[in-house]
Amino acid sequence: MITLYPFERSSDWPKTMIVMKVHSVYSKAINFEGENNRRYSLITGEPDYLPRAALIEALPFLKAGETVKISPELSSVGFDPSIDPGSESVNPLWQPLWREWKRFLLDDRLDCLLDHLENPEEMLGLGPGTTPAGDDFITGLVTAFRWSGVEVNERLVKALEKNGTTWFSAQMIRDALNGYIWKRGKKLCQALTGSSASELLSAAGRILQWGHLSGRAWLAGFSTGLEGIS
Amino acid sequence: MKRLEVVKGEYYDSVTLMLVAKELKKIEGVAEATLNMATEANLHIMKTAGFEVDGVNASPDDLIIGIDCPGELFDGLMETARSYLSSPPWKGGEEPSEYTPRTLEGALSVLPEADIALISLPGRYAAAEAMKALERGLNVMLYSDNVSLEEEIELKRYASRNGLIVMGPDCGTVVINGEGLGFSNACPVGPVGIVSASGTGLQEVMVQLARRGAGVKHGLGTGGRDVKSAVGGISSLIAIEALANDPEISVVVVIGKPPSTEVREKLVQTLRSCGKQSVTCFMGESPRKDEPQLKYTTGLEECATVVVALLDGKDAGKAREDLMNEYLKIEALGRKSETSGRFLRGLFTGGTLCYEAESIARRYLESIYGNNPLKIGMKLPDSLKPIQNSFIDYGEDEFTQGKLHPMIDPSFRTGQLKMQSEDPSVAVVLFDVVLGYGSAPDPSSEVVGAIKGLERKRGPLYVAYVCGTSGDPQCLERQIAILKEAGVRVFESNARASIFAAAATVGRERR
Repeated sequence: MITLYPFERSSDWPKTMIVMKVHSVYSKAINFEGENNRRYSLITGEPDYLPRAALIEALPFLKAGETVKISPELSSVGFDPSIDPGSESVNPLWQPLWREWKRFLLDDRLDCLLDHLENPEEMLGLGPGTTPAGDDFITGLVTAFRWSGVEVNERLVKALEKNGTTWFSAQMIRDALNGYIWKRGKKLCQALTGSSASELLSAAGRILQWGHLSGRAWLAGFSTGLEGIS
Repeated sequence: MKRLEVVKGEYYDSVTLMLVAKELKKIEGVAEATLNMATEANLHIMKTAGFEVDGVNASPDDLIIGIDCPGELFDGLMETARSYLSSPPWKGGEEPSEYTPRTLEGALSVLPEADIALISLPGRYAAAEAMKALERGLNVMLYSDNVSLEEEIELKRYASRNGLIVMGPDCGTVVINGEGLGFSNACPVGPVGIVSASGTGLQEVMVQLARRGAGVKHGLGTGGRDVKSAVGGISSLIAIEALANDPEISVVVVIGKPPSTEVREKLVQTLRSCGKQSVTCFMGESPRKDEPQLKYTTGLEECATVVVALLDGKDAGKAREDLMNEYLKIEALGRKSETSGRFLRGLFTGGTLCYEAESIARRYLESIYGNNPLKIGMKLPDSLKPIQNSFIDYGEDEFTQGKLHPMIDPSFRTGQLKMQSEDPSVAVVLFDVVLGYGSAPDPSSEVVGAIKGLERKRGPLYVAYVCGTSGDPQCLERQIAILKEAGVRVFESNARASIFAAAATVGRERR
C-alpha cells in the first residue's frame, strides 16, 4: 500500500494518517471513499478546493478499488470550507447581477429544472452532467440559505437525505447542508459582500468554468436561494 | 445531392450558424453547407443555390440546414450539425475567465458609469431593448437593422426629449474619443468630429484622413433613414450640436446620402451657426459653391481632402482641384485598359461604398441596375441575377436576415463574385475589401480564391479598393499584396477604383 503526502489541505481534513479506498479517478482529481462513506479528494489545483480536499504536486497512477494511506503530517491548512452563517450580507449593488443568474435555467439543457422550482427536492438526480444539474442547482440553493443564515426547510432536508442521486453529488449536497462550500463558491460569496466589480465578475466567471453545466446550474440555484431570502 | 432539413423553433445567432457551416464544409464529401433562419430572403438564396425549398414548411423562427453531399452521408451530417449547434467545436469547453453580464440591469450594476449601450440583436427585438436602455438614461448605438421606421422615430423622439441620442438603426460604426464601436479602423485621434448617416462612409473618410495624417475624435453614426423627412434628422442635429460644443473639435463633418430637402436645410443651417469650420459630404449631389465656414463635397475622398486642407490652413478649393486632376489621370488609364466583355458589375460589402461607386459610375455609364439603385426603375428583379451594368450591396437587409454581414463573412459575396466572373458579358468586376476591427480576418484571400478558380477563358478586369489602415488587424499592405498578386488593380480610394472601373467599361456596352 502506497502512502501519499499532500503539501496542503483543507481545514476539515483529518490531522492524522488515514487509509482510504480509491473511488474514482479524473485528470485533475482522485476521489476516495473514507470513514462513514465520506468523500475525500486529492486535487492538483488550488481553485478546485472543496471540503475534505488536499493538494498534491501530481496525481499518482491509481485505479478504483485500490487502498492508499494519506499522511497529512507535512501539509499546512490552505483552505477553510466552512461558511459563517449570516455573518455578512450581500452588497445591494449586485442584486441585478445575481438575479440574472437564474436565467441560466432558460438554457435548453437546464430547462428541465424549471418545472421543479417550487419543490426543488424533486430536482435530486435530475438532468444532464456527471453531477446531475439538479444536484448542482440544489447545492447552490442550499449554499445561499446556509450562507445567509436561513434555515433550510425540513421537508427539503429530509428529501435530500434520501439516497436519490450519485455518490459524489450526495456528498456535495450533504456538505452544503452542513455549511461547507467549494472554494469557487466561497470566493463568490466574499465578492458579493464586497464592492469590487472586477472581483465579482472574476469569481462568477470561475464558477462558470466549473464543469460543463455545473457552474450554470449552481449559480441558478444560488440566485434562486438569494431571491427567496430577499 | 442537395438536401435540407428544417429545425422548428430554434434560433441561433448568425456567428454560430456561419461557424457551424464552416465546420461542416471541412468534412470530406461536403460540397456545400448552409445554415440559415428560414426567412423569405434566405429561402430564395437557398433556392438559387439549387436547394429544393418549394413546399418547405418553415417560418422565420425556424432554422433550415442545407447540405450538398452524397445521399448516404446526409443523415450523419445532420446529426453532426445538430451536435455542433448544441456544443460548438470551436469553443474550448472553458468559459471565459470573467463573467459577462447577460442583462442590461446586470451590466449596469457592475458598470454604473456607462452612458452608452450598443445593441446588436435581431431587428424585431432591438427596438424594445433600445427603449429599455434609453429609459435607463443611456445613449444608444443601434447596430441592428430590420427596425421599423415607426420604432426608429419613437426611439429618437424619446431620446431627444431626454437629452440622449440614438445612433442607428443599422449603425455599423461609431467612434467615441477615438475608440471604435462596431466596424472600425485603427486611425489616429484628432480634432475632427463626424456625423455620419452611413457606416462605411464614416470608415472611408476616417481612413482617408488617417492616410493624410489627420485624426477623428468622435464619429457619431445616425442610421441612413435619419436624414429622411419622416425622421427629420433628429439624431444628426443632436450630434452636430454635441460636436460643436466640444472644444477639442475644430472641424465638424456631416456625411451621408443626400438628405430630404427640409432636413438638408436644417442641417446646413445648424452647421452655419455652429461656430466651427464645417464640411458636408452628401454623395451624388451636384457640386455647390463653398461658403466661408461651410464647404460642400460630394465624394468621400474629396471630403477628407477638404477637411485636411482646412486643418492645415490651406485653400480647400485648390486641394479639391488637385484631387480632381488626379481623378482625370485615373480615368484616362481606365479608358486605355483592355478586357473582354461589355458590362460592369459592382459587388460590394459596404453599403455606402456601393452607393458612392454607383453614383460615380453613373457619370460614365447610361443605365445601371442594382438591388438598391440610385435611379428609379432600375431595381433588379432578382438581386442574385444581375444584368448588364449592375451594382449589388450584399449588406442590404435581403442578404443579412439571420446571416452575418458580408464584411464579417464575405463568403456569400465571394460565391457571387465567382459566378459573375464566369459571365462572358462581364468586362469589369469592381469590389471593395473593408478591413478593420469586426471585419473578416483575411478578406482578400477569400476573393482571390474565387478569382483563381475561374473557368472562363479570359476573365474580366478586376478592380478593387481596400478600405483600411496599416494598423488594422488584417494589415492593409498584406491585403493589397494578395490582391495584386492575383492580378487585381487596387486603388487608393473607393472613388479612384470606381472611376477606373467605369472608364474601363465606357464604350463597351454597345459592342
